[in-house]
Amino acid sequence: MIRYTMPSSVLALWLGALLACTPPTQEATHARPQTSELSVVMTDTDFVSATYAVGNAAFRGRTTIELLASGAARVTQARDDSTQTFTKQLPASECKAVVDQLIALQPCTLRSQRANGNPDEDEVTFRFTQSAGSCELRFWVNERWDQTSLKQLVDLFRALERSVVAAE
Amino acid sequence: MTVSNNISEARNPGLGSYAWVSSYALEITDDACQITIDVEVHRDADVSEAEERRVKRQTANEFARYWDSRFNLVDDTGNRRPIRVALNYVNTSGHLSVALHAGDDRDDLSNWYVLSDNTTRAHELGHQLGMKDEYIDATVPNRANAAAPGIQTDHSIMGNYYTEGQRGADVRARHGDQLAGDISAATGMNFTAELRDSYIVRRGDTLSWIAERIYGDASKWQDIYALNTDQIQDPNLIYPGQELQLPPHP
Repeated sequence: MIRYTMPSSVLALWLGALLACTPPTQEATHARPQTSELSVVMTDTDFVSATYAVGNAAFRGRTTIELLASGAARVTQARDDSTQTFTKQLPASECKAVVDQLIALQPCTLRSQRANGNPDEDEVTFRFTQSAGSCELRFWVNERWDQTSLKQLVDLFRALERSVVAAE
Repeated sequence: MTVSNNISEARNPGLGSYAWVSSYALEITDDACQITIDVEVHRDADVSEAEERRVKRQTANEFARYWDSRFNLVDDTGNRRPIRVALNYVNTSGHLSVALHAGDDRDDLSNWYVLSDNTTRAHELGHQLGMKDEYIDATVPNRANAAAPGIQTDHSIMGNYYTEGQRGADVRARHGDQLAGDISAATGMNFTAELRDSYIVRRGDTLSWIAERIYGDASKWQDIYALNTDQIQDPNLIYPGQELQLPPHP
């Protein structure tokens, strides 16, 4: 249930980059960040993102939530043949709050504890990406009731979804 | 006796399976085939006792609406018994253990939400009776697309009633066949099943809703009414527990 390609130290670099939470002002250099200090406000503009997806578009709907390094957030709700997309540029304070919570949760350290799901149980996937690598995680959505950090992670993205959808 | 079957639906490689144990108590008498599911409900700390009671009551009613006395179990001598189903809430050793969470979210077999809809809980309990999902799931080869063998589009309670229309969702003859097959395997006897030609009214039912579920046409309430004028004085007034005769199934 997991494909892990990025060490947590690299994720920390990416999360550090997110701390800027401002739109890019120049072309990305694709240079590997030179520091892992999260307190440093990064100016690197490599593409980075955090993505959460849950559900089945052919049944009760599928929601995808993306947070970009620029602070832009996008929610896509797909159901049957219909797709709605919502976008929002997060205020710096809101973006920083999200990033701070991601840092605290260290999502790439989480692991699914179940190979099989209950009938009708949705699968939730996360992807955290920066130029140096990424980690992808899969869980059964109701594992969150047994893993506090996973529940906090899901709640974080759902709060982000509400914020983005409400903005339009 | 207990009927128990391990059920698994394979997903694409590397994605695990949907897996569960269908189990229930079974008693067959001269008059009925009684299925009882013992259900443990464990509420989260932020769910009140009153909410738990309401969910239990509503779920039992909805389970009965869709599954109780909807089929006859037919033995190899032609004797017919209604398949009765009931929930029995217990504290331990249930056939099914459910966590009850606050708010509104997506139920699965083992996780219910206080504000989720009751039809979905009837769907989930269908799994406990041995039914598989019948809607598209791209991760399940048997249900990967509309043409896949596991897909049904006849307003099945196990199908995509969200899109097809929730009020029209109902059991289908194949669900009775599944029950009869499982009961046959458990007892070593040969049973078949058939849809019953009567319906027991549940709390919340109306003639038009019954007609919409069973015939896919709400206007057929008049046909049901016409068959039951001996016990229905006003078609707007039917009562839980009334057993209505039904016109032939389509």
